[in-house]
Amino acid sequence: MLYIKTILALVLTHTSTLLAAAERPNIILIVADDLGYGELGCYGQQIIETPNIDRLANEGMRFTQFYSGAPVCAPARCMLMTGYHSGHAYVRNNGDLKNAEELKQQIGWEFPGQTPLPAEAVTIAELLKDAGYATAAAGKWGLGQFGTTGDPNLQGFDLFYGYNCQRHAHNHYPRFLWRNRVKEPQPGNTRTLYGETYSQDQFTKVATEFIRDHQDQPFFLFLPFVIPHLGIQAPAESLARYQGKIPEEEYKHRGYIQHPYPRAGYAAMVTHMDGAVGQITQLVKELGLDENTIVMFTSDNGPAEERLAGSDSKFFNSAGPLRGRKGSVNEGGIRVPLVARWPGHIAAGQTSDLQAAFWDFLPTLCDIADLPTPAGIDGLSIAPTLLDNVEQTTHDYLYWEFPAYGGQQAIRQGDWKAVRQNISQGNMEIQLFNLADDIAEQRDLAKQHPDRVAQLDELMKSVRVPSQLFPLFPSEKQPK
Amino acid sequence: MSLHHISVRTKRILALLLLLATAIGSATPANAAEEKRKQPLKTWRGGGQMIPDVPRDQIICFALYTVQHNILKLSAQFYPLLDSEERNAVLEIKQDNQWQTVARSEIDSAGWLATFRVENWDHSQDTPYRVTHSGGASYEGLIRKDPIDKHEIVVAAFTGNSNSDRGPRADIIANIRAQDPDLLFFSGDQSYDHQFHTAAWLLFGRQFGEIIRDRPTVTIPDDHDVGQGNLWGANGKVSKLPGGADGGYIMPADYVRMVERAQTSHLPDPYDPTPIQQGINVYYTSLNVGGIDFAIIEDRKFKTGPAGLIPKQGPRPDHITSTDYDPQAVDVPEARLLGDRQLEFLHQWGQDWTRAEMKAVLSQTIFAGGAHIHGKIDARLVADLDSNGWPQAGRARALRELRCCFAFHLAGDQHLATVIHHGINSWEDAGYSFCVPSIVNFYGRWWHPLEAPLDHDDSNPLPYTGRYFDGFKNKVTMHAYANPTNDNDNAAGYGLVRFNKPAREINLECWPRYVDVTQPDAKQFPGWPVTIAQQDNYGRTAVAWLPTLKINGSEDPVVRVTDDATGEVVYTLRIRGNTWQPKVFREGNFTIQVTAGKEVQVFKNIKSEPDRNAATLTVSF
Repeated sequence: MLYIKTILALVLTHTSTLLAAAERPNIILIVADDLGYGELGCYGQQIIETPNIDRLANEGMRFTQFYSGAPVCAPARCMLMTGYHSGHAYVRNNGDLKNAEELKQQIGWEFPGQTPLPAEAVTIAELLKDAGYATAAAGKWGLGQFGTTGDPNLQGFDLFYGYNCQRHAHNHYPRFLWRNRVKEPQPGNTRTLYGETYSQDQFTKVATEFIRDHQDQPFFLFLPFVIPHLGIQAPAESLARYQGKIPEEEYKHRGYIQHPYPRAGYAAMVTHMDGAVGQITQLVKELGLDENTIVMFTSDNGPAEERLAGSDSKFFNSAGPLRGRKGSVNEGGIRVPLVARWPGHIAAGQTSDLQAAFWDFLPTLCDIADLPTPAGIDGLSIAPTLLDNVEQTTHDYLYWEFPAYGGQQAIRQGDWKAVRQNISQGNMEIQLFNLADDIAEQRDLAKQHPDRVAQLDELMKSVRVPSQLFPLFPSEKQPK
Repeated sequence: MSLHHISVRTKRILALLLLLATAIGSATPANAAEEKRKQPLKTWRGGGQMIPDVPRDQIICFALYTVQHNILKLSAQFYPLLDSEERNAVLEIKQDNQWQTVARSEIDSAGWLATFRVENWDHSQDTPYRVTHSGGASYEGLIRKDPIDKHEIVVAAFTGNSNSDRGPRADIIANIRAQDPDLLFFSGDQSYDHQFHTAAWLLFGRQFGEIIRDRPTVTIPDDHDVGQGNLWGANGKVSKLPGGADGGYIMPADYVRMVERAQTSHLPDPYDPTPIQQGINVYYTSLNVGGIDFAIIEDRKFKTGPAGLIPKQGPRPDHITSTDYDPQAVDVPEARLLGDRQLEFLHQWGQDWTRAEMKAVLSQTIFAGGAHIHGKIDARLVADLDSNGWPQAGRARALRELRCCFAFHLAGDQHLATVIHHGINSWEDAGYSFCVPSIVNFYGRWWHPLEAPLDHDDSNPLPYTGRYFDGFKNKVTMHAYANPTNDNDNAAGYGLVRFNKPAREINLECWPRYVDVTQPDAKQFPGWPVTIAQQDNYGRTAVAWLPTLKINGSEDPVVRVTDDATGEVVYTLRIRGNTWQPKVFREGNFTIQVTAGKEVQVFKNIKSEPDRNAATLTVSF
């Protein structure tokens, strides 16, 4: 059965507390690309400097058990946008759009984009837009090219600026970026190692322009930045901060552009993005919007695989103590930073160990905007934790399935986590970890706790609906 | 039901309500979300549109039909089906008090539509029909016999079903039942829910199904139906600009096809079904109801977008706000309005008077920029390129085809009811249009010219009537308009057109919302009714005359006049009676073709005379 959509009735009719549009807070949601759990100063990073994001954490709340929806880009974004976990979400893997030659020619794509969100998908951007929010996204989309049902303009964003296709974003000095459906040439760029217009700086520019233009109106600014996704590329002034100061190792090239100083380049990218976060929060402050603007920062999945194209997650301790990297449902692939700052609403200097995930963004932002949330989604609002005003409803479980990298499934219930990998090869064995004393998932307790394994296996079966587009088990694949 | 679905602020109150609800026994099972996932795909938008749950024996929402050339086409709109439900529907008709199956259809899961086509339809009698589904649903209606024997054919016309009021349309339903038109025409913007057409179309069905079920209905989609605020279809290309002013479609082609399928599957087969770009289909066609021959055209689909074609004349590519702009500068030769394919169709249709006594064109909007104030009372536009006043040359080509068969034009879209007599080269040298008022008018527009009219008729109660130029310097003669006021529901309402066949007159009525038309004091909008003669639709002043035709042995023949010098058809008309004098617009020689039944008589080299009643030509059948 294909993706089943929620019933869309409202759970309860909203009563007298509905806010007028003008009273709703602004929302800035920043999502880094492949930034690991250990790559921010506030999460223990020792080499890469991220003073601005650390300040967000100091002035707000930091989450230690927050998860992405998926261990790679496109499905994680789908879950963020629509409030479903990967057992119910429409997009469950990366994958290019196929058979769209006419559209390709008419719009003028070089890159096909990923599996489009369906028209019926209700995104957080649509919900906020309908409530009077100005909506913009700047960065990387990955949920459908222009002209398809996943077109960001058709999924709630008045303005999209950046890379629609994830593969287009593999170079940070692109020849063009999209401004809605129109290609905007990027001066001085040839899609090589260096250029004159760094895409992150364009996102920052568009973001600050958007904030200025809509400061009198509630706005939702979604910033799915492309840093530190490969290739490693950074402007010279950011590179200078690290070049020669950290030991380099030989570049191990695997498909992305080769950087002569891969470690320095990687660190420079992250710090450069941190600078963008600083510029944006500074502008919010200057415009007097601090108390009416929540800023959240997170990442879409764990750090890139060890030594892929010169990234060195071991050297940087990119995933902290966690096992696994991008693409894995082990903690290192899915546990990500989340910091949230909202002066006057979120008390400063807090740390929360609430178990929450990407599918909680939609209900949380609805909650913050005082909007009813569509029923039937998987997410829960974490606003009670952020605002510390009512009791937090917690998840009974968190679930991931991912048909790639061997085919994987994982479920977390309390401190227990069941992991099933190599499903494509027919493996059905489950590994069992207790994260309370084994955050690194080193000790498989499956043999000691067969009842727990059986219970989590049953739970995994019950919380998912197989997807025709993204079959997980060999038996779910349609004959070709 | 769980507390996280609602705002933090309201939780405490709602927690109490929940306790209360639990106490009275309406607790929701803990796995409500799982239950809901088993439901069929639904569409929803914050604060807006949703598809309600209906009992499974009521999953057929409404049905639309037309009959043309003895072919019945009927489409039945279903609510979304469950996985377990059968994907087939059955069309039955009642003959000799027995239900008989005449067609079956698969229910398409993109838009939950079943479409039926029945040939050799007996159109000479009323026939009850029903659409049934194996789950127990049954939807009944009546295929009316062709009202060929009626002297007066009545069309009710609607436009703009704004979603600012999603309630029932009880006043309209009651009035239409009382007026009992032979045809319903919905000119567009039946849906304003840009990405949720199926949900909106089901709502439309609930609002209007009761008057649709037992009479033929034409629905054609306009810009909002296909998910955009304005539409310049540009032969189906993809639009790249927000607002779509570069031409083409913003929504994916699948969506556009789904919308057009829902709204036009029941129309007579298209004149030329060749799809346009992106595989988007066309539906332009004709429909004869009781001797009134309607061309149904798509005046957006081939139209060129202004952005990138003409210099911007204001902040938006489609709005002209600079008062000193040169209207001729925007009438560029690359711009298209109806497009060659539809002009050719109109040309052929205009000459075919089989079973036709009068002709009318149904389309989305009129060929003029019939408004000055847009949205707010202080928002004046010089010209709106979304109107079909632009491109002027395309407008002239369209109006020429219409007047060649004395066709009247019925349309909507403008949120401003008007009756306009159009001029191409001179005032009133072409036909009349009636733009009907919106069903619900969220965005008011006003006819409020700054200049005084030329040739104002003092007997007209409306001050801004008479000869004007629209914003594109098109010649328009305004006969009636219904501006929004504080007490007329933003000038919402509908139009009623009575085609009087014996008198060859067209009577235009314009009814406000919430009037009871059965009451003797029921009042239309000021300025209505308006009565025009069929031949006013080629109102051009004669330069010369051909001999008066005296027809022996036949009544109401078809007369076609062709200019011998150019070979072009001057006009074609089914005359009333057996005497008629053709007018011509230059001196010269003409060919007169007179057709009675299958018999054709041709008279070549007929010389025009400058004076009326100078000669007679007897035609005997």
